[in-house]
Amino acid sequence: MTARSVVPAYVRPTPARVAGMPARGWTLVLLVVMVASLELYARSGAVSRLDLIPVSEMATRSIELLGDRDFVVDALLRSALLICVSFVASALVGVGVAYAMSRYRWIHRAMKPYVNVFYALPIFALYPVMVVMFGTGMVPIILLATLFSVVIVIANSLVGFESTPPIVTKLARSLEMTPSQQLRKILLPSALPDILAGLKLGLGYAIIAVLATEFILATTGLGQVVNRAYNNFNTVDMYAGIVFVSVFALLANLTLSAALSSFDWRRR
Amino acid sequence: MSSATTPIVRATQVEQHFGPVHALGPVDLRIERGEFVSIVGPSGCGKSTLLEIVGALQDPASGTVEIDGAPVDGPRRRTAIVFQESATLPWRTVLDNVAFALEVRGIGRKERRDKARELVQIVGLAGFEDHYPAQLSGGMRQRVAMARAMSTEPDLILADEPFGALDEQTRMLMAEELLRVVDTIGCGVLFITHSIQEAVLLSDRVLVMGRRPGTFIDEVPIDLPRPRSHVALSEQSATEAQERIWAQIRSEAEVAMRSER
Repeated sequence: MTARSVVPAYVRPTPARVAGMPARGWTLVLLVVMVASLELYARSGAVSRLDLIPVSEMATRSIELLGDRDFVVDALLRSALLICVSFVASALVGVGVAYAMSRYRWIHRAMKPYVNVFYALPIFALYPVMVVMFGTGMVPIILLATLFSVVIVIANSLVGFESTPPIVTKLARSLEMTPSQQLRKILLPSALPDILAGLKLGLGYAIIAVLATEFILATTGLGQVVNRAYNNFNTVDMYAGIVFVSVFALLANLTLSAALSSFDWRRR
Repeated sequence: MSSATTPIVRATQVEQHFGPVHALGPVDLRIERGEFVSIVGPSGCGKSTLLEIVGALQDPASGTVEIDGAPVDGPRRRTAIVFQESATLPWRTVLDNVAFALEVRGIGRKERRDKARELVQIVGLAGFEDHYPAQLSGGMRQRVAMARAMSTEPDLILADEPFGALDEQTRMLMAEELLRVVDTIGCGVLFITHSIQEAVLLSDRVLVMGRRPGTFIDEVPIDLPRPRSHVALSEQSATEAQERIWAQIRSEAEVAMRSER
């Protein structure tokens, strides 16, 4: 039996290695074990091919999809475009609204309750309204996705704008800065770390919203590829689509996070 | 019009109210060009309020303030304010912080950076140009703020307990630094402090403010030769001045404490 440390656990440094392996190694082990057991389970014959296919087939098929021109143009590029447009729209509108709220008290009073309760609204329940008003094209998807992701951007940016130290605001006044100078040289850089955190979440929300909305109201797009395969009992394409979408969302998030973090002065 | 004999600051019958609270005055304040005037007084007596009124960060409830012969109607270009907490911008390097005031005034990049580099030298931060405020000590951050205040070539510096957050040793060093800098550029200074020692060391004149609503209860001229260093504090006229100021503040603070209880 090993001797117990007399140093309490909460002051001991986190061990770099756990059971002889770095923590990151264990993360990898966990992934490999999960994938391997899924693969074995699917191949064991205990489950119908209609329900589950081996992970290796999912991966192969999703890579094949990349060579399919229809898939790339109609599904991948279209969805990526929708995500980009919704994300940019919610970033611009979100930061703009948050700035207006921090600048004008009455806008703040008027908007705050909506920002607070918006999370509780099942935005996707609006989709029949969207179809009636805008049909099944790109517009309703962009609207829903922007609406869904803008709130988190507003909430985070607002925290950023409001946490500008009062002393810095005084400095701005004593230097006779114009409102536009204050925005560019004081408020935006000061709020930037919080705005970036909001944008990272905003992208995640935009991806979820675009894919989910395509699932229910579009005739094409990544979400629709999965949905169609599912409706046609095409299990291979369905799983391939799911794997593809997951990897795509993960890469998009990681890339944006890394890009945005390089602007974050708190991480320097 | 302004001339060599116009005082840099002339405040007449200035008063301030915050809602029902009578915070300040009425007070008169006169600062000559190149004169160093300190205000000491118990906390909450309205010292900072007076400074912010002179700096046009607040409007007085009544009374007038003239700077260099002209009535104050907004922040003024040649007035520089140094705040208590270091008002440095954490996303900018030391050099860009010092150049900030010039940047706001539209001075070109090359010119403002050259000027800032010079000032960084003067306040003793050479070698730290590319550091960020988070990498500096409190004293160094306050030097950055001082350099920025100097960048606009002010004829009046308003300092609101600029060394209040620093430890005793750093305070003393910074005070000597400030003396050197002010002697170099020859501007008027209104200096707010809690420290009687600091006030005596730095000032030509110390004004003692009584408890709220703040009015001046004494004016103590400090006749020490310049340039000064901390050694001057042990001279007899300096110790006498400190005693006199402390006696006044003590009785004011005691009354203030009793009435707040």
